[in-house]
Amino acid sequence: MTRHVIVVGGGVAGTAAAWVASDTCEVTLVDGGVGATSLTSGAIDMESWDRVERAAHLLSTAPAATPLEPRVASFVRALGLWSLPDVGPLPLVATTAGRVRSARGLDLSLLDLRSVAGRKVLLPRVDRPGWDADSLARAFAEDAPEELRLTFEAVDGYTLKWADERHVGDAELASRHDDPARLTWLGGELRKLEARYGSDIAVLLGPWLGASTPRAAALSREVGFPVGEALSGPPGPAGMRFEAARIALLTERKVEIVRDRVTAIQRDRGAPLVDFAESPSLRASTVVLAVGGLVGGGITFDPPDHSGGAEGAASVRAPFRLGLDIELDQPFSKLTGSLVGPVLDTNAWPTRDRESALERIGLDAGDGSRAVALDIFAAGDVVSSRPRTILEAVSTAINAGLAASRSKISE
Amino acid sequence: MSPPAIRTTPPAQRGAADVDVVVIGGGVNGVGVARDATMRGLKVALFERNDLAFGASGNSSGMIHGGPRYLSYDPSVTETSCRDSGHIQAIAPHLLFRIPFLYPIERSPRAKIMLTLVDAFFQAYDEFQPLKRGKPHARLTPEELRKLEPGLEADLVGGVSFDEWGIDGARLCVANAVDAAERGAKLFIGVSVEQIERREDTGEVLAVRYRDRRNGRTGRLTTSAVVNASGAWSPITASLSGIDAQKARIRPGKGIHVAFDRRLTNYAIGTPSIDGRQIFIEPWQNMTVIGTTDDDYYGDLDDVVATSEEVRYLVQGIARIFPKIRSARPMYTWAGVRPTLYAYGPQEDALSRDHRVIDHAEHGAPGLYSMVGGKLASYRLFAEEMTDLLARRFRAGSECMTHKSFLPGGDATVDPFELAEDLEIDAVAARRLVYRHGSRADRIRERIRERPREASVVCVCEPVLEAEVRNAVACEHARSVDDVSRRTRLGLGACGGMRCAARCGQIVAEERGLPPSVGREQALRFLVRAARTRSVGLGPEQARQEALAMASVRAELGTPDVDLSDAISESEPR
Repeated sequence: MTRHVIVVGGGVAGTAAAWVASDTCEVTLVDGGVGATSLTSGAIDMESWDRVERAAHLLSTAPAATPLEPRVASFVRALGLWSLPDVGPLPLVATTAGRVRSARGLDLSLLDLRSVAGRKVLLPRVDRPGWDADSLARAFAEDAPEELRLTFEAVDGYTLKWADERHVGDAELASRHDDPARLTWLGGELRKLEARYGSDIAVLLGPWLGASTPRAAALSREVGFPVGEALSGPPGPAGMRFEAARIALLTERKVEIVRDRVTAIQRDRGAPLVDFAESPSLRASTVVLAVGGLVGGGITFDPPDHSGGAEGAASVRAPFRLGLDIELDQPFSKLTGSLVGPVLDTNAWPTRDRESALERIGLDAGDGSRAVALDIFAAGDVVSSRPRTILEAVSTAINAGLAASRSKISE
Repeated sequence: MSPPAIRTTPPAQRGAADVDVVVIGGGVNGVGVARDATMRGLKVALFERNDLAFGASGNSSGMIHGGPRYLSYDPSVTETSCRDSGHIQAIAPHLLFRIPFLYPIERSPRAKIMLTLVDAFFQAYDEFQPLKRGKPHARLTPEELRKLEPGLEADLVGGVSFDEWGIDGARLCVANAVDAAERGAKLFIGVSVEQIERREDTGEVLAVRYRDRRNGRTGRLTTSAVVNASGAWSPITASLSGIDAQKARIRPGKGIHVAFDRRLTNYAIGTPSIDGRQIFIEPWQNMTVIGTTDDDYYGDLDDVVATSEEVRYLVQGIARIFPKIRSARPMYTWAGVRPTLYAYGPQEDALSRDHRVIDHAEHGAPGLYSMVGGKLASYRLFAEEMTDLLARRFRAGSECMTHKSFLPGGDATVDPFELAEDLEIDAVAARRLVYRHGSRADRIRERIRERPREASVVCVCEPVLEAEVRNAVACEHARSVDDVSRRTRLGLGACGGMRCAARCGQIVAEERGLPPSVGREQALRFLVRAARTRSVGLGPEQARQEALAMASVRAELGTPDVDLSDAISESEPR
């Protein structure tokens, strides 16, 4: 009988775990709404990028790519949404906050500034909040590494077709470029820049190039010079593009998707029994918990005096909880180090040397291959003390997915 | 107040020094004196080491209330507060908003007597209400209280209503400072006075030596008088002249407030805390505020922050009558230190809220004055009393006009709906703009007419337009993202500035002609500082938002690595 793996969570960790487990097992992915990966900026990291840059700076080298685990690389290829160099210097991306930063990989619509070295990067003046082309051009010019010989210039030109586009969200504008006719129109407008500035140019736009799939490559082909997006904070189209790509991948791998919330995982006759908010319970051979951390909603911060009513809390307990009912090998509270949880007054935000307490919190699952309860594995941001990055989530998910495929405990 | 001893020092020579008066402190008292003295023809320079309204003035409860609390032991404070509150209302009507209060009484063996006493008490307070155009109190049944405020859940015997006024203390300071500057006062913001020089023979003040905290530049300015209006910093400031710090001592009382993400009530509610002190919940601008604590404070005055214990103390007290506060979403906190008149012994709460001018002539330093004590509600009167002394010192004859002469923007009203339509901006944004600027919202309108792009929204939560941010730097002496936030409430919404701080930094750097990296550093500094004020009161929603903000900031700007021990340092090119 085929082993049945239930993956709880529809972010990048759940997708990667389902992808790897579907090699050998029947997989059901439970998706209680979009995960935190839908908020991705499009920079695909393994570690904190500024940490990588600092380390490179200390060694007086350019930040370079470290090899990916083979299965992580395969997953990225299968998803087909991100470009990650195998070796060599890391890509560089411009952020709408005015930085030029490195990333291990980029969503295909983002403009890799390293790939346009020596060119004049044009920023069209677009009448949208948060896009002050002149200001950004100055900021990028100051921040970009000199050896790339990049120049930045704000230019006039049409990129908006309708008046409402001065106000609609980035994702809405991006989805309008999913229309080939619209993309052709934009290409026509951008080509006019070539007449004024020559062909040795690249065009940097806001996060507007496609909501269902990255449109930058098609647009670049159309105009004959590189066009791409700057990175912006959530919510943005990079997250929407991930949503579309993951559904395509899971469908191709014949993973069953259940749209529901898991409320509890019990043990019943030696196997995990997954209870749902609406659907009937499902028995599984193994389970992968990829429910996310604080952002994804897998972990909630719920201090005891919150919702305590007039007299406050009846008992004192650790303030972090899993969003579902499950008996873990280790009490969740152990990870907070004190009876009442971490004192967040000073350590809620990260510093150069210390992770945020809010981000450290999670299940003790090692690199993903260690079970958190019998036949239950954890992956992604719900795992404690791991960097909250996409590639790190994929890595733990692949370990958890493999462990769930191979675990011999059931029967 | 008791008038200070008038010494028979000869009148100071005007024109002999660079300025007549140096005012130290950009809180409400300092800017109040700067304005008043300038209006009376004196040449004034004002020094503020951090920013306008950085201390108690910008971190108060946001009310110019009459102080009914002081009625039983300090009736004169209640009267002066009410009277001056009325004057402030007349000169800056745009900055005021009515806050009706409820004071419910919980059932207890003595509750009936208590209610009668409270009723009689507010009967007495009604006498003062006309001074500030307040409504008389009303006695209410438990049913009426619950009808007015359905969130009240305690077992009540009844209560009363009374009437107070809310104000944005930072805007009040800025309005005074801008007016003083427009009338000729010179403002040195972010500049710390490091020494007050005095003549060796007579002890008279001679000059101040100062240092710009952003670029380290130093300077000296000669003056005939120095007004120490530095609030909780008063003893330190006085000691810069070589006199004993104890000559300007105060009893520093830290107070904190917690802001919630929306208006949870229509009425403010007063209630006793667990140790019998009066605390309150108030609808304030577009949010709800609970306050306040009052504890002796001995820490760093440049870095006063609320702690999670203080937050819990307040939430616990409010939850007794308004339990829903526990499931509400705390957004951020603020903290300030009151420069209360010194007394050894009394509980913090029972200290006099009166004010006093100390003439340090009696300590051998003629020309040096310290302003201690006081309240936001009576700052104008306090400034008037101080300036009267200066006028006498300089034989400047003209009378105080600060109770009649409008603060900037107070002279006329602007219709926010018309403004919204005219500029094609959100009506809420227009309303907030008019609140903060009064008739000067028309100046923002002019900016946008000339440069339509400046109508773009920088901070969505408040909301704040680009034109207002630029105006804050160009016309309101803001020099950093923190300063802009203090003046516009930018970045103080639920998103914690994650969408607007970087953009604001770009604008500030641009307006000041600085490299973009300086703006970015300011943005990170603001984000970290603001995050620290939120982390002491986190609930489930805000914790989730916090984790998202961190990820977002890391992606766009990098992991914040700023040293908060120096409030305004800046890698500004010299």
